Amino acid sequence: MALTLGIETSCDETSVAVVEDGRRILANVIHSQVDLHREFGGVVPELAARDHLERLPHLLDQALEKAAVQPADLDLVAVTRGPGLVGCLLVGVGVAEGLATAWSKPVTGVNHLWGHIYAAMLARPDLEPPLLGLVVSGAHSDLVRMAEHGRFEVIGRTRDDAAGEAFDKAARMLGLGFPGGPALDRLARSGNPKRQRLPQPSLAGLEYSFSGLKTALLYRLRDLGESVTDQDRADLAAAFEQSVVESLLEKLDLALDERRVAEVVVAGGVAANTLLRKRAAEVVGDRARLTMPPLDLCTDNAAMIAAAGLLGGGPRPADVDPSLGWEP
Amino acid sequence: MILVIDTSSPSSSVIATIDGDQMSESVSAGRGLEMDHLRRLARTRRITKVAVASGPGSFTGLRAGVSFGLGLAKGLGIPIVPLPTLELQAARSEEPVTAVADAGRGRFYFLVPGGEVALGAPADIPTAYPLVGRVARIAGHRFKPEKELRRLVEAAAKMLETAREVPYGSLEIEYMQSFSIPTKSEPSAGFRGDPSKASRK
Ligand SMILES: [Zn+2]
Repeated sequence: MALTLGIETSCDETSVAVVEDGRRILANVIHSQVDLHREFGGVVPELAARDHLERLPHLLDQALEKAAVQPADLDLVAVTRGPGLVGCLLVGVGVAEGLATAWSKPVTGVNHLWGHIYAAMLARPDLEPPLLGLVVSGAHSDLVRMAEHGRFEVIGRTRDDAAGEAFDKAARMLGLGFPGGPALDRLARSGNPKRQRLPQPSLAGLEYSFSGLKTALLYRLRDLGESVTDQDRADLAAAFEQSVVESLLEKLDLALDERRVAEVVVAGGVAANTLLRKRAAEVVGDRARLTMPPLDLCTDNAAMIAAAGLLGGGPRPADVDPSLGWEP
Repeated sequence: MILVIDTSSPSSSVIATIDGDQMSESVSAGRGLEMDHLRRLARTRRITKVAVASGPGSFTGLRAGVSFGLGLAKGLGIPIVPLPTLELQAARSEEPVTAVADAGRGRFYFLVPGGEVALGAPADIPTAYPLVGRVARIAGHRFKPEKELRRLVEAAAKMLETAREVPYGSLEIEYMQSFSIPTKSEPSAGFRGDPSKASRK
């Protein structure tokens, strides 16, 4: 039995977790900074980093207590090394190195994007690669092939905005608060996507693009001007959401046709979206087994970092790299 | 043994130990922490307190050093004591000096005796007192010669006679620069929806 302590501070969630054998969550304590950043309409990196430093000690106590684990019982400390906000990553890595030094434990640096895929293995402990993964979040909408543990190949990505970024921008245009994704999701539930049709972006191959869709929404809102009703806004939210979701899934569909795989994972913050969850199941159908982590494992958390840290091969240096891609 | 960590300079970091009258310090180039050295110290000596230079100074260096110090202290269950960077430098001298630290882009943090921490160009730094600090040189200013100064570890020991520990959850890094809150409705350059991305999740 291997016990891993996970630490995640790449953006605006501070999280500490204890995971057994990379598959079973003993504790996954998450503090969201949403309230801290709301009045600014976006994550303020400096405030985020300060808050991580302030919260980590207490979250650590909570996680160890909840897991009923002593530091001496731990086998590994896993911490996100990137991608993310540099100041935030430095805090997580610094604290992790300090704790590991105090306890004489090894520490491993974890790729945050890998974490989102490994979240699926916490949701379904028998899940093994090879698999096809779609990771959708505020800064990424990547289609990847995971051949084996610790080996990822990007086969599709966005040309411009990430899906979550597109949702955030659309939410702002529609006058919704921060964070935009969940607010747009809620509004879209009372809208009809057929009443205010928006184009569905489509590029050749496995690439997608959301900037044209964003512009279309902007013009539509401009045309409606003062006369825009609440129902119009709900309809536009529904249409925008539908275009993004169908565009993402069109590529997943294509990738599934091209390469036979038994397992598909859809994960990341945007995978909490109601329509995406429903449509992903329909699109994958019985061609493969689909795993979508539960909502609290889709948003950033330390349990997925612990899982990726133990199962992803390693240990690896905990060098902070804010612009890390899918490489280790 | 008290462990002292100062990563506030962008060009070098200091790891020092105080064990009664026994003091030692090691300076390494670059802003990274000498992890091997720290791990060896933690393995072979009993650390009873951690003191960290808390800024102002190098954005990256301070983050790494202060966070490491916090993790180490928390992990060992021992006190952590922040030492303001400029006061630490000023404590290296018996006579009044102006402490300086590199703020990047040709600017410096400085502290004149009895004054408050300020940020400015070389011309803004008063010339009444000699300067002390881990910076190469500043044109038009006189530095107090290194040999007339205490070592950093001795200055830290002196400050630790009165410096207070802080709860783990209230350790703060002192910046001045690079901490700008955006005006409301106009998100900062690094927020989640910025197309210059790559820096986020
Ligand atoms: Zn994420």
